[in-house]
Amino acid sequence: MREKDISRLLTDEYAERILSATQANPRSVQEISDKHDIPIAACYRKIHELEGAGFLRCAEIVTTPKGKTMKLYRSLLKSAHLVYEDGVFRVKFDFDYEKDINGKWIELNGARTL
Amino acid sequence: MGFESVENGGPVLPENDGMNPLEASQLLTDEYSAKILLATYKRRISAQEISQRYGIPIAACYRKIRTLEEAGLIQCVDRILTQKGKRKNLYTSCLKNAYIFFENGRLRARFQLATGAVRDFGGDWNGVDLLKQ
Repeated sequence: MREKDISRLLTDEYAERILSATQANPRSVQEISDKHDIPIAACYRKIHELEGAGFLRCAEIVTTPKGKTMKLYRSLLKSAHLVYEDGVFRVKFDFDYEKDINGKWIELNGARTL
Repeated sequence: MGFESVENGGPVLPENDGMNPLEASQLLTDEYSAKILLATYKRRISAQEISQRYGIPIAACYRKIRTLEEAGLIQCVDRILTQKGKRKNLYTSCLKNAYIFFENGRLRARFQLATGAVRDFGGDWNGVDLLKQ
């Protein structure tokens, strides 16, 4: 996934809520859907998208009293910064794990390069 | 990276009515909006030209231009007459700098306009040590 798509995903309404919800503690899809008013199917889809992009991780698998297994997800994104200055977009991400782009400013489109 | 300017940039306007930090951020991360902001950077350009040069469908281009205009990020600076006698609006970007931060599960946005006005979305920016970034 390119940096540009990552920053767009971050400002997706559901994705932003999911990342906020899973920042401190691992949460189940059902819990996120209920608490943050996200339709359950969309919630599963977004979570898979975020997991694929390396933003979320299944931190725990628990068994409910009814005997169902349930995955708990936690956000891996510590911070993201998008800056627009002098007609140039730059992004910087910091993840909870080793990632090559951690802490690096990456230039996206600029007025001159577009 | 010129973060100093954030600390002492112009008067801080009250939170923009109706726009939350997510909506404000989307003005910059939306593909078409971002292209329009770059297309109008230090330039006067018509919707038609933006549409052709940057591959944005014309209807979407007009719609996004209106959204950006309403948010105060671009403005119509001239209305010229084309050879066919049609009026054509020329737009230019009013956005100087923008900052979108996602930290501790919270999204914030700050826009600095060419006029020096600052618009914040999603809370307090005071005491944020931007220089440390």
